[in-house]
Amino acid sequence: MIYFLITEGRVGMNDSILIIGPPDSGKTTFIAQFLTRVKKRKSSITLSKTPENIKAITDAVKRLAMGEEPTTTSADENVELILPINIEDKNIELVCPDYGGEQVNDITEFMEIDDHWRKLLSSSDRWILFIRPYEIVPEYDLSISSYEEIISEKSEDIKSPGLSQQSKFIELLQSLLHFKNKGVKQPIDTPSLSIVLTCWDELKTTEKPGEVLQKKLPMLLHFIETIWQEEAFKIFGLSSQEFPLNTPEAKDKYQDELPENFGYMVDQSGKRDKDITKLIKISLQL
Amino acid sequence: MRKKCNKTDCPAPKGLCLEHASNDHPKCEHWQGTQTDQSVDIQKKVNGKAKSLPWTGEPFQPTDIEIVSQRSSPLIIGMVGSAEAGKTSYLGMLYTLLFNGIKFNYWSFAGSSTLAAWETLAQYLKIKPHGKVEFAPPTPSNPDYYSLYHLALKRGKLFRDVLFADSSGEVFNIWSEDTQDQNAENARWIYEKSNAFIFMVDSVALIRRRGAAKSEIVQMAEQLAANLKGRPVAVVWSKADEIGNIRETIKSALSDDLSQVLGDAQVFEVSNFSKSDPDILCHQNNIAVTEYLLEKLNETKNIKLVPQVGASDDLFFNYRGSCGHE
Repeated sequence: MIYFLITEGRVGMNDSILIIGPPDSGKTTFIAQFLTRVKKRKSSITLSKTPENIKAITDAVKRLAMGEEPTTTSADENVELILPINIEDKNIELVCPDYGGEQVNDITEFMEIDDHWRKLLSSSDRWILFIRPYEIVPEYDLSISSYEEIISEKSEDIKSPGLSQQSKFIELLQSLLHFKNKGVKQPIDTPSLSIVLTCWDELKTTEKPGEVLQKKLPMLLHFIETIWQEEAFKIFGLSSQEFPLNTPEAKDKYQDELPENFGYMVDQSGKRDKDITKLIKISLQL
Repeated sequence: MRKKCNKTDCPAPKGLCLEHASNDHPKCEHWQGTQTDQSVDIQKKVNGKAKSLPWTGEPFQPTDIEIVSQRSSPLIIGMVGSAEAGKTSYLGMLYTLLFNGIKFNYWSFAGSSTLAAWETLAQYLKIKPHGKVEFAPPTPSNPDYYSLYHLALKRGKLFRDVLFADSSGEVFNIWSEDTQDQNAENARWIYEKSNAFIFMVDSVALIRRRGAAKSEIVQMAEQLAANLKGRPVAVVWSKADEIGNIRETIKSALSDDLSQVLGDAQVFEVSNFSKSDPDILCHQNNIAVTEYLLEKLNETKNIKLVPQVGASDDLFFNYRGSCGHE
């Protein structure tokens, strides 16, 4: 006799979430704010045990408490940060393997990956990709703007311009999937993918996160929609800080009202939510 | 692995470029230089036990095709046309349009193993300060120069690896006069291996060189048709924003000749200059050329099996296996 075992959800999922992002994409501020909230029990997420090493973000936590912008993590600091958390009685690890974000750049620059990353990729079935859309500036080409007068010249030699930001993200996802032994012929359900558009306040927009990604990186969105299952990826907006801390008033506000009371996320429909830890919760449901 | 700096002690791309003291390492002459063995060794040491990706992002060479042929038999689209006919620019514009969010009607973008190569083509269509555009330099004309540009595309559940094969127009000019010329090796390869062709007709050459340009184009079309064996062709009039300036007699004579030589090949007019948004010549037609060929290649081929039943008196030839007889 044959029995069929039917379980809910996907069988054999690895319960760790990988946070990936290039340098200066807002990973530090998010994790600092996340940790402060979790510690202050401002969220339904708790720490399941004390993280072994939070050196990477202690500075950011301190600076925010003083109303200062966190400084950019040095690119050479390849500190790995692991936060053991508990959500609805489930123990999960939040892993940020590459604090500076430089290893992420190296993957698309040298087209190779080290052993440690490969292990991390194979043990995580949920990826969160941080992108800071404000920093992505449009370039003008002949298909977009019709200049009245185009002075055309023949270039003398073939120069490689390096990858644009958009193709870097595509190359990164292709590479990570390759090392996780995932093909692109069938729609992907594992790993699930959350695209987080960070520093949302910089955009000063009322658009939905999906619309912003379509405007800023349309080929990346097209690529993701083609190869991922619709239910396995989501796009969010995130402002971990809520506003820049560049005026005395803003700094005062942070010191008076405490950093954990600032920051918000934007869901797919464009709705804002003060609880930025929900981002992790939603990514767990993907 | 991509190119790196060949200057000793330069930390680029990890750090700032030594020459420019900035992040401008792609502009540095040492970055452009070929990679030395020493720099490879240093890099390997730094990265420890690193595993490389099978693709580099640079154009495929024929031996690279196996990177994608493991998962699907790739479709090769051969770019055919004289020098300056716009073959390389066509590819640059195709990528630029996808980059800017324009999509095929039925096919969706599932990645590319030659992203850096596409970006190199697309940079020549970028508008620099003061409205300056530097078009691509002529494609190298040595007979062993190959560049294949890859797109992975999906149509519903159907997955296709598509490779666009580009080479210099001069090589095709040689090939159109003598297909066996020893300097036309890559043109021969493209002609033999391609599943479909984009045949470029240079509108500006027809304005400037009139009859001479026409006869070159017809000669090349005849060579293309010689051994086509039903492979689809898209006839593409490039720089078509100027098409009105071709003398009417030349234009209609060439159109007649091409439809006679290439039969039912569909004709398109394209331009890299967008005059409006959306622009038919630039935004729609560049995409439509490739999509037309993809759709043609996707059509189910009629299987032409002619059964030969019982045509012989010989028992041996009439034997149809024992299963039919108790």
